[in-house]
Amino acid sequence: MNILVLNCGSSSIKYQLFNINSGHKVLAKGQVDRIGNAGSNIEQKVEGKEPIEIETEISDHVAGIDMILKLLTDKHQQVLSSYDEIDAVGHRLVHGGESFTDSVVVNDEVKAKMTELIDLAPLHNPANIQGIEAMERLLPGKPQVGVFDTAFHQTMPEKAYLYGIPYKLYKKYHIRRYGFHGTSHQFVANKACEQLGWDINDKKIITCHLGNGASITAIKNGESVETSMGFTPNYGLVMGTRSGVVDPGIIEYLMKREDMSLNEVVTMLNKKSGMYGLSDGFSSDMRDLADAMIDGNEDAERALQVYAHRVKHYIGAYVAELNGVDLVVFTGGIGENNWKVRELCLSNLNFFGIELDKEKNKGLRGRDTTISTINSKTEVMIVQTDEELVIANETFRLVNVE
Amino acid sequence: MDNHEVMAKGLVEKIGLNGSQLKLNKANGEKVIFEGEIVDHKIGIEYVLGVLTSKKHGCINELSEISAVGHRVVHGGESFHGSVLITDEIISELERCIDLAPLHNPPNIKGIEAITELMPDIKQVGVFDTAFHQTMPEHAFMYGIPYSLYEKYGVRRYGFHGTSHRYVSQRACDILGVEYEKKKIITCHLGNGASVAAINQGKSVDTSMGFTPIEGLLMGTRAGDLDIGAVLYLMEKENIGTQSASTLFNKHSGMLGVTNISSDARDIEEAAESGHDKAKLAMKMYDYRVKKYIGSYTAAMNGCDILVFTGGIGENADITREGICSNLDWLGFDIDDSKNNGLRGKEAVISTDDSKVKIMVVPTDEELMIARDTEVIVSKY
Repeated sequence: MNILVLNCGSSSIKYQLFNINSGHKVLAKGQVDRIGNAGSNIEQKVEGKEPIEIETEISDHVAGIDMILKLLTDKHQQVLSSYDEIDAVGHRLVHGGESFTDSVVVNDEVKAKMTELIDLAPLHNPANIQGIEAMERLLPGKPQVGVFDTAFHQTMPEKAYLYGIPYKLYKKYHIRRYGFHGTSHQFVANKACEQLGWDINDKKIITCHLGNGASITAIKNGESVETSMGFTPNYGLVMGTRSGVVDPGIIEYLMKREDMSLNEVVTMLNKKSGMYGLSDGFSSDMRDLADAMIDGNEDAERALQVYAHRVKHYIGAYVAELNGVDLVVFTGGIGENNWKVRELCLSNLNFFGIELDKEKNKGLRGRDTTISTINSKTEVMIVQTDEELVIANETFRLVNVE
Repeated sequence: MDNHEVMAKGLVEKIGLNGSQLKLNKANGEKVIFEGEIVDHKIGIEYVLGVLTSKKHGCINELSEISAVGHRVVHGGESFHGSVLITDEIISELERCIDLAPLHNPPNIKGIEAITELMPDIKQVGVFDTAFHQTMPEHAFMYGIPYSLYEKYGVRRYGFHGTSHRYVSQRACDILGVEYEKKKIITCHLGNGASVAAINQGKSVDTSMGFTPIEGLLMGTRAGDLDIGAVLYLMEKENIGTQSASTLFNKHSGMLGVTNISSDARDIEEAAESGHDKAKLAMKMYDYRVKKYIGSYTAAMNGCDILVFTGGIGENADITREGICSNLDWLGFDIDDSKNNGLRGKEAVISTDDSKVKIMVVPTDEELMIARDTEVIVSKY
């Protein structure tokens, strides 16, 4: 069975084609970029072949997906001989609001719900819907499955997901904490337990997904009970260019002092803040920042110290909520690859039974492994996330049930 | 100041409004209310001085018996790390901080100026809500925003209730007979406004209120931690501007917003007991947020020796203290129900004998702290 996994962003489409029968082999993967802009292009990698990149006019998501299908069936690429060899399509869907607590087979009702939720994710949901509709046109009759970033966190209790605002505003507009990266948090928690030979249902786990976007989740008995992102993905941790938690009182102040509109302030908090802002414009890239910090750059050091402190806050808060922790997992581009960041985040936490094996951690990247000392009460692991694989598996599961 | 007595205390309220009045609590327990047209702070202070020296209700014969005046000042920005003798330069510095506390610093300055006019030669001391938290390290006080905004405008976490956090943390160590400079302490000032502070070796290293007092915990009418994206969304949906939004999040949110009953913890507790769902929910949310900060600060300090509850709710609401401390034994917090239940407004240890962390109730006394600081500072000049 061949499953095409799509991640449609506002101006990009990432894709991977899996063959489920051959041990989840990735037959091809690629990315369409700059949709609707000058310089739009597609890039594809197939094992054993030179990567290929084509610059061509790609005016919308239908054109983008059309290009993907053409490239997958291109005779030089030798991936598929016809569209018909794709058995199902899995979509990463960003926002399922309170309507979706699990992955779903896409039908008209699901599309209607997704449309209702556009308000909550105005950048992402429209692109997701366009991706689904493009597939309906190009591969009519093929089953499509949606896997939501928010679904895993729908198990959060009310006390964790509500903000301290009038309850009627939650009822009226569904303003609450949703959380994101759910697919990743769920995947790495399960994978870590499998590797340790543990039953996830009696463990307390904290997963740190540290990528360009970043969030931390508290998982009890396999369910998400709290996560650091909120109504939007700009909440919680300091990220590449996102501020994370700030005092709501600064909005009014900055509007006045910098003569900015509300939207400008919010844009600034999303695009010019975070590590980039804290390092005074040095970089939003953790690799650059970690190297610079090691070389004594103060701007980089400041940004990384704030970053690590915030991660620690959340680990502490979730240990309190879980009343303990058995396992801490690091994942995401930064969590998997940046040893310096892991070291900063996990330093001086021995009161929590968390003891990092500094020697083992140093220089380690992109490998699933334990990085805590033998004596550490809490297990600390690096686990590589693979959201596309989860989507492929979910698609396989639901299509088979149908 | 270790031997002190309160000769009188009181409150002037509704200044500039209808029904302005001075409420006096005399040392003998008698309460007196003086109604009058108190149009501004200066007149309010004239009333106070008049009552203190009055034959019938006063406690002193003449103003010269007052040796010094201590002021609570809300915002000292980054300029003030401790209490100070008020001078002209200090007043100009306070004026520079108005921008950071537009509601509070102006009346603080008016109070100082009124005293200067009414008691020209008296020494005055300013004790800041923010000063105690000035020891926070950069990684704790910076937000993830452009550094230039911090450099230009001082946009950072300041924290408030510093005088209270300082008083109760020191007092807790006195009661226990342990060295303040060697302990890791978390203080929960839970009143109508509320904040948690982490105090390591006598220094504040983290606190939950931020640039303004809205951040952090759920409060009587304040939202506390809130996603900026949610703020924007709400403003667009409800078609409101920043001022209305600020009023919404400061005055109509928090416990009041969630319950739609009251901002008063006692009313909410009562409603919860009689089965009101939203009241129960609000209490859970309240306890949960405090608990998360306790966890965060235990992480930030890599441990905690003493947890202190203070403020109207912290001192009196046993059910809230219990809600916060329940299921925290993994971190060494073990509350003793038999000590906690029914305890109100009294200094006490409420943890079990085996609890790794000492959990305490210490009623706050910001005024005493201000008086002490004032005495120490004026004695130097």
